[in-house]
Amino acid sequence: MITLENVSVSLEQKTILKGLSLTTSRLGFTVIIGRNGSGKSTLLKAIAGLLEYQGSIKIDNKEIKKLPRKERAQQLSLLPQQRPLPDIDVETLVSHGRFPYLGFGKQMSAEDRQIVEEALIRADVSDLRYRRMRSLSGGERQRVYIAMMIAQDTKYLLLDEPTTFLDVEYQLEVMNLLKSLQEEGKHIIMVAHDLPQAFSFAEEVVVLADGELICQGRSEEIYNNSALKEVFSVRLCPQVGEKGLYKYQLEK
Amino acid sequence: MRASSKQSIRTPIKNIWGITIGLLVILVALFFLSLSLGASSFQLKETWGYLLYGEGEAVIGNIVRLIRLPRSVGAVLCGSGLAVAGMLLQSALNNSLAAPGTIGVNSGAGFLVVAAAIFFPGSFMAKTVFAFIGALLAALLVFMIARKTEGSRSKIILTGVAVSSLLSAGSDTLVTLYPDSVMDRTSFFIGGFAHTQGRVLIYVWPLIIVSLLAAWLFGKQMNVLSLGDEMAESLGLHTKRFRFLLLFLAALLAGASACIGGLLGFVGLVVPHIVRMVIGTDHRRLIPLTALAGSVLVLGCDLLARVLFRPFELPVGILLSFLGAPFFLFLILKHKRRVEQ
Repeated sequence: MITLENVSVSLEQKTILKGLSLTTSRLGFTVIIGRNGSGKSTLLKAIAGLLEYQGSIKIDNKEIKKLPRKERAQQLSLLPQQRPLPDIDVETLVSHGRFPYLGFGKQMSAEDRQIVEEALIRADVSDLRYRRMRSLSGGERQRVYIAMMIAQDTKYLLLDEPTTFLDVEYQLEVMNLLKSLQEEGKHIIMVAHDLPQAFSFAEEVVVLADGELICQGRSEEIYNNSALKEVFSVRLCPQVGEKGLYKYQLEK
Repeated sequence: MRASSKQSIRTPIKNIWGITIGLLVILVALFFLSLSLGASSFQLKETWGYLLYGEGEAVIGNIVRLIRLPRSVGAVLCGSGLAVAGMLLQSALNNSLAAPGTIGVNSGAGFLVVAAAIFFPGSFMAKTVFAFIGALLAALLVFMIARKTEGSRSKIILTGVAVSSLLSAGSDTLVTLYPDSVMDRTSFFIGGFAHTQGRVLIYVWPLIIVSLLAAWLFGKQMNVLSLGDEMAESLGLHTKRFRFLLLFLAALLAGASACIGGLLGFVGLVVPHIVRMVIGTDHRRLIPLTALAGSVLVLGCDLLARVLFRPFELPVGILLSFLGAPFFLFLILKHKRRVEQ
């Protein structure tokens, strides 16, 4: 469980998160939503331990900033939205997921190799293992990065808009993969901007506006919350019939 | 399993051992040629006879021992040091155009080497320490400005050009005010091994070897750093500290190399790129092969510089610039094409 108490984060003398307090549920799939500039990505990076913050962020009752880096990397993995694309093959990238477990010589053991192999299969990228990352499509790349997170073998997987810029087919693939990881016991915490998608897959939704928590709860409980309508100027309705992609749809 | 949307691209050559052994054989061959050829050339067996049994004419022994052995060893050390320094700078600054010559590291080392020659004449220790400090300060200055301005690739290089010009102006001022401070200023500022002495090598070879080994040890971390700061941090790497460590090692290598062969340009830019094109981007393989290829390039160029216009010799820096400058332009054009695509 991740607990934030009165967390404030300032970047370049601007306060982005303003005394935020929340506790993620044990449900295992938390989606953070909010308008642009609401502090979603900042919140994710703060939880990942990448930003200086005031207040307290605890992961399973341990303060994030007091955790040794290696231990933190064995608890939390992060997929940022923007990252350079290294000129390496898929298998090498996925094997980087074992970095927090390697000893002084940084050599992988047979067990590490086995875990990498399983991660490649789990994310359905085993056939791509010798391909260069730069030769893959957006959806394939995203699945490879998720394979790396699987190899990192952390309880919490943090992802910043993992479906942005992907075709709908690839978006569904990525979301289904994350959902299946949740069902295997991982806790997914992701930032999203697509409301119907977020509410359809999430067990729990956190709504931010201007660095503050607006509401939090199970998607079926808060989809028609008035605060949600105020933030996004639209409302969510349950999908009628079985033709729609998601359980919810947007209405003015 | 679905077929991918694009064709697979060529996997880099896997036969790393073949390349390594090939480069080693070339290096050894060049080394013996370098001992034998020059303004006075000897038969290889005469050089071999002197080295193994101390046989032969005294003049051959003196030329080999006092002149050609130090310059050949110096070229090997300098080539490996500068090439790996370039690779470390490229990794630390996340910029493939970074190298000791392009971001002011050489100029920083040069400025303080001239200062050391003025204030501590005859002290090789002072020269080495000052070269390292100059190289490190220049690298840190560019690094800090790059971070502060969230510098793009070209902005980092432009910052390096400015820092380099400033420090070169400092060196020129010192040399103008103290014209006798540097024994052969042309050779030092262009780069060359005509005046490399064995006693200088005694100070710097441990520095270069230890720094090369340390760089090799950190190969895996450099691979992780190439994934981007946020991802590297989430994998447990302390990116700020690690980048500083890379700059520190690069400054040690570039500073020590400047003490041996002066301000050689382009080695740190050209060699890492060529090696990367051949074997890929795994730093655990790249670093030893870059060191080896750097040695081969500098030793080979030094040999050419001696024999091309025999009995006159070119400073090797000129030859390296003839090779390196067009390569630099090629990289800029290649980058432009990639951006346009």
